[in-house]
Amino acid sequence: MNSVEQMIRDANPIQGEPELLSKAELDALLLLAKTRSGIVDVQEITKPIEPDKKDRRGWLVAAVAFAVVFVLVGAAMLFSSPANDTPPATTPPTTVATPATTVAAIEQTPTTLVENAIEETPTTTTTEAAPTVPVEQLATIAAYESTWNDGDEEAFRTLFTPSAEREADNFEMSGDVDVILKHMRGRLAMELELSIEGCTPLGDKSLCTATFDGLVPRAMSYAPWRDRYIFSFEGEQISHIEMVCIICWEQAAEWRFMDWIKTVEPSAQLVLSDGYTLADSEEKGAAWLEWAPKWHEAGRP
Amino acid sequence: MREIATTEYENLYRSHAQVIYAYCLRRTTTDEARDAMADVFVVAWRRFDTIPSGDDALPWLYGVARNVLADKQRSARRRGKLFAKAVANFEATVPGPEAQIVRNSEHEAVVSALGRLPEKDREVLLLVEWEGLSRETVAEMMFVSRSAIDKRITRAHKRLAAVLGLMTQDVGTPPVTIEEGGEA
Repeated sequence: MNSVEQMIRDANPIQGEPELLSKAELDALLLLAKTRSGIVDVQEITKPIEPDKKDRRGWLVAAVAFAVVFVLVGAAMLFSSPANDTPPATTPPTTVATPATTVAAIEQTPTTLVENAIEETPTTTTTEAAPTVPVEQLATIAAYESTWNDGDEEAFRTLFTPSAEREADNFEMSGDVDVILKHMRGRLAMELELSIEGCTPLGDKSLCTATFDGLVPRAMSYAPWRDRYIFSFEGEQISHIEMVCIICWEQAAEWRFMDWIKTVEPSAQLVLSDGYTLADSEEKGAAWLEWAPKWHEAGRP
Repeated sequence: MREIATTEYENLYRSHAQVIYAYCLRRTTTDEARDAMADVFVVAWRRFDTIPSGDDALPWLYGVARNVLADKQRSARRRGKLFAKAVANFEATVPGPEAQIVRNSEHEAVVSALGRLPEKDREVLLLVEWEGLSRETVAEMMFVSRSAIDKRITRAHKRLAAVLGLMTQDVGTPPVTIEEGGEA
C-alpha cells in the first residue's frame, strides 16, 4: 500500500463501523422514512386514543352499583320512616349554601384558564386556595396562549418587553424579540399548540402549567407533554418567561424529549439543567420551518 | 403481502442504516446526513422490487445515497466545501468514543486535498478507501468498467499526491511536519 492510500485511510473521520445512531434515533428516522414513503398513515397514528373498553365496563358496573345502592337506601328509608317522624336535633336547619371560595373563584375567572385549574400540586407551592393571580396577569397569559396558537406576531410581540431575557421555553436567545418570533414561527410550523391549564401566584409572578400538543409531535409519539412556566411582568406585559422543566426530572421523559429534539434537529446541542437550552436556537426555528413541510408532503392532514 | 414487504423493508433498514448514515456523515453535516439517510430509505421503499438481494443491496443503497446527497448539494463546489466542512466538524457534532475520531493537522491536509479533487475521482477513491468497497463493486455501482475505476483511482492518487506535495514539498513523506503541532 502506498503512502497516499494510507493517508486517505487515516483521514477517515469514522473508522470502522461504529454505531453512530442510537436505537431511538434509528427508530425515529425509520418512522420519518416510512412517513415520507406513505407506509405509515400519519392520520392513523395521530388520531385520538379511544377510551378503553375496560373503562366503559367499569363505568357500567359503577352505574349499576349506584342504582342498587339507591334502591336499597330508598327502600330502607321507606320502611323506617314511621319510626323516625321527628328529625334529629342535630340536623342542620337550613339548606346548604354555595361555598364562598367557589363563588370567589368563579368571580375571579377572567378566562377559561381558571376553569381548568391546575390539577397537579406544584412542587414549589402547596396552596389549594382559589387562584388569586391578578386578573390582568391572567388576561395577559391567556393572550400569550392565544397569540402563540394563532401566530399573531404583532400581538405576540406586544406581550414581551424588549428587555425580555428569555423566551418561553428557556431557549437562550439573548432576548431578541425577532428571534423569539422566528422561533415561534418554527413552533407554529410544527403546529404545536400551547394550552395553559392554570396559574397560581408565585410572589409577584405567576406559575402556570402548560401543555404542548400537536399533530407532528403526536405523530412522533412525543406529545402531549406538560411544562410549567413562570411569567414575570412589567406592568401588564410579560417581561420574562422561565420554564420549569417538569419532565426533565424523569429519565424516560427526558430522553423522550431529547430524542424528539434530536429527530427534528439532529445537530441540536442539548444541555439539560433546571430547564433546558438549545444552542444556536435561531437556526433551529429555521430548520423546523424546513422540516415541517416534509410532513405536509408526507400526507399529514 | 404488504406486511411482508414492510418487514423486509425494516430488515433492510436495520441492516444498513448505520453504514449509510456513516457514508452520508462522511460527506455532509450531521443534520443533512440524517435527512439524506431517511431519503435513501424512502427511495428504497419506492424501488423495493428492484433492490438487489443479499450483499448487493448495500452498493445499491450507496448509489442512492450518492444521488440523494448530490441532489441536496446542488453544485459540485458546494459538495467539495461541504465535504471538507463535514469532516472538519465531525468531532464537534458527533461526540463519543465510538466515533474513533483521529484528527490532526496531517489529516486536515489530506481532507482538504480530497475536497479539491474532482468529485467523481474523490467519490471513487473514498468508496474504496473509506467505505471499504471493492473496485469491482464500485464499478458496478457506477455503471462503469473496472478499468475505468482503476484509471480514476490512479488519477486521483496522482492529483492527491500533487496537491499534498504542494503543501509539504515532498510527495513521498507525510504532508505535515511534527513541528507544526501535529499529534503524530
